[in-house]
Amino acid sequence: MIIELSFGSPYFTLPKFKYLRPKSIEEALELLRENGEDARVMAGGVGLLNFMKERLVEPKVVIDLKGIPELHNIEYNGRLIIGATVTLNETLSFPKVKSNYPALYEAISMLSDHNLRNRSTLVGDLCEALPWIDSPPPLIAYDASVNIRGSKGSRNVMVKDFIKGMAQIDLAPDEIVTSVELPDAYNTKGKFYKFAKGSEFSIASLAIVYAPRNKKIKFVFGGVSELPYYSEELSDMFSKAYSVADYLSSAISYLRKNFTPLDDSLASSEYRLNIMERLMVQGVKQVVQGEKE
Amino acid sequence: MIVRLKVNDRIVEAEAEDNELLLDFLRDKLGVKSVKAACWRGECGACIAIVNGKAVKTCLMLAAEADKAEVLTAEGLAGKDAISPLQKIFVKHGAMQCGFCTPAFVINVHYLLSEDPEASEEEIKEKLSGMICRCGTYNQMIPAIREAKSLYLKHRRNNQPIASNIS
Repeated sequence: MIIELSFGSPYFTLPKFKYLRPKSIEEALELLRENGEDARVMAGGVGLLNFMKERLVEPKVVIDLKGIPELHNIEYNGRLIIGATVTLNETLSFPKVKSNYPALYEAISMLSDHNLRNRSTLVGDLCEALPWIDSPPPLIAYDASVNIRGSKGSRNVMVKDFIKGMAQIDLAPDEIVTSVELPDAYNTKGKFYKFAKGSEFSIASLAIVYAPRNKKIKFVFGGVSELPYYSEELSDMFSKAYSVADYLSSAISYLRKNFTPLDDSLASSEYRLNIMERLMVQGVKQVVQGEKE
Repeated sequence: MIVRLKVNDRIVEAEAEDNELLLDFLRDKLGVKSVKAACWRGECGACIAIVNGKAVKTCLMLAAEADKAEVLTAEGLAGKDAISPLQKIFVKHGAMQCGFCTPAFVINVHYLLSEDPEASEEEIKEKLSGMICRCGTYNQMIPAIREAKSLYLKHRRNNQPIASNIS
């Protein structure tokens, strides 16, 4: 059998499209209205260009947002706002991210590699909505939301509602996500755990955010199902538990009873469940009890 | 569209298709052959070049996006007829075998050490994790990078550029 993998095969080239670089959000929305479903918005491009090479998407028009200064903005004023074209490395080097949102910081620093992080963006990752990409779990744990602009006006959607399924998001063809916004996380402790082969896609990951003051804890798992997995009950059980050990044993039996993780080529369902348990035990010990790594 | 950019201190312009990758544009239109095409999907890092001060994988970037950009590749790191101090260190330690990935490793190490010459060995290893050397010369690169680090630190202290055309 001859395997055809030569230069010029679809694998190496991009399909034909028109490249547009608007200078303002209004201009970008206008272009989206004109081109409808034929257009794709590009932020960093890492995901989109790879999908296009694989012919998973073949837009006739690519709208590059990098020419819009307004979107290339990261700021903190009690809330953290990260614009659509702010790269992952730019997010990492913003001091407030590391100091106030450590779970997000750790998740981003484990995403892909340094060179790709010079290009890919947090908003772009979020819009891909792939379960093995780990930015949604910490964002959900920090109650983040996305700001959306469309021809009918603007709206704000919680990240947990924004992601609707594998590669499915709550976004109309004439809308763009302008930024992701995180409320104040002062007085919380956070940590992110990733279980993967090297820097590869996650088999399971866990974002924990803990507020010692009101004994509130949040767990959001990534990589274990099509959507990030979290459960209000699992969090509520914490404030009612007599001790950490008591909590962990009831939380684990809750998890086993109520959740069946993905079963795929990366790992079986049972394997993932075991990893989830371990991440949770490790996380609670380190974040709540302050145990060293 | 016409793409006009600065490559290794030379201002050039050429016609680029909208769907042309920066990698193909550099190699085929501008003759910059030190950026290598291998995996074409951002996994191997052989196509790394410094674009506007950031080391990026040029197989995941459009030529059109590089309009008005400044690009630095291994050709620019070396002078006209000499090789750069960093390349000399790589040679000294035998930090290469077939040489295919070497220009990309050199340019990425140059970028990392210029950005932060005080980075720890662990940090540098992590930041090079997006690159593959299929000859497996990683072990030779570690002492090379260690030596390069002291060189870049010295240059930073004396506030002098490491190569003539790099600020």
